[in-house]
Amino acid sequence: MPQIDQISTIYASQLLWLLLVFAIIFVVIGNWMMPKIEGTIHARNDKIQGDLDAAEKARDESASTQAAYTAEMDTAHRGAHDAVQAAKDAATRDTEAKLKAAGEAVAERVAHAEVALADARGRALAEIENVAADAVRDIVERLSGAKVEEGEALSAVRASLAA
Amino acid sequence: MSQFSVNPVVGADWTLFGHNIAFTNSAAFMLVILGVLWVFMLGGMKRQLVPGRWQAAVETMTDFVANMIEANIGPKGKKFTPYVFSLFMFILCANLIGLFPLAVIPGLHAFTVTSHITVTGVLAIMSFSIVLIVGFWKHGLHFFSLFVPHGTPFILIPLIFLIELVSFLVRPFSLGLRLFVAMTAGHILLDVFASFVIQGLNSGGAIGPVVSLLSFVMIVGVSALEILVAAIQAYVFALLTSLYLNDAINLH
Repeated sequence: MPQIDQISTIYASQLLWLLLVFAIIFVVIGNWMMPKIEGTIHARNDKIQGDLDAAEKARDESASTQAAYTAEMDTAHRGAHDAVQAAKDAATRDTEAKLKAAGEAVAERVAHAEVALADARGRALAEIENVAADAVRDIVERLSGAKVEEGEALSAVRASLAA
Repeated sequence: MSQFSVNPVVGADWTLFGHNIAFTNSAAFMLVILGVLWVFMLGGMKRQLVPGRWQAAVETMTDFVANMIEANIGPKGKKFTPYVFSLFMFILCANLIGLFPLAVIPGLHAFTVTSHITVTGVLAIMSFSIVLIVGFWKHGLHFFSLFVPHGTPFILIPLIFLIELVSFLVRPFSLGLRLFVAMTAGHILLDVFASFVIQGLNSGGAIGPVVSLLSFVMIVGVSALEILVAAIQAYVFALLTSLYLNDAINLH
């Protein structure tokens, strides 16, 4: 086995060249190149994490904006509904008031008219009594020639009309 | 076995303090590993926010090791990530390059750096030394409490201490030997089946080609297995290193 047979002649050469090469690898590759490559990996991981965080923040922001929009829309809807309801109520109340006023006016005029009618009827009745009394006096005078007093004729007419 | 032999490429007579430090095929493959690793990592240095395939591959590797450290040691282990990453990538690259079919180009032959105990042993000792240094630096002599688990009956403390100490001291050997043996065994297995293919064809008997074909199918299977083993062994080495570091940093 040459690895063991040759030890006495090659040990110094092997040791020297190995230490030389390994020292260069350790200094150049291990201590200079590797940390830079690791730094690149860390920078990338940080960037990815930062981007993820930013994306999550943006998502939260959009969610809150959405919520605010929905809330505002709800408020607006409710406001519009209230306004419509208020307008409806006001219109109803207005109509009712107008109807009531109109009803009252009509009732008043009806009452006036009734009063006037009753008046006119009273007057007409009185007129009829007078006319009837006159007619009665006239008839009595023609038939009997007796003069009937105006008051007497009137009371007689009233009594017969009331019967 | 010749695939494991280390031969000087240039400077066969170079010496440093009386030791031979020739630039061998092993050293050449270490440089190849360095180059491949550097090019691979360069693809990850584009540092784009949306990574391309290459950058994603590099980031997968760094993320893999960083997660392993995070899971096994915790936040305190972060400063050891460069070391474990270097270790993991070096071993993984060495294992995979050793499997590369370079021999199809005449004159070249792939060499597996991690199939040498002189390499895996040094890596293991390096990891173990870091564990010792960190342990004694952070906890002083209190580090020895690592060898006495919580709730040990008073009478058993000396025995448990001894057992734990031995198991602790065996760690560098098991760490280095595991990788060395796994790589060597895999390559020998491939070597054996490859020799069966050749011998079957040369035997001249009727059964020869059948053996060759079966051996070739086995080579395909074992090669796939070896790619898996290459990754697993690199992972095991890095994982055990981080577990031992966890002991040193957090005790029990």
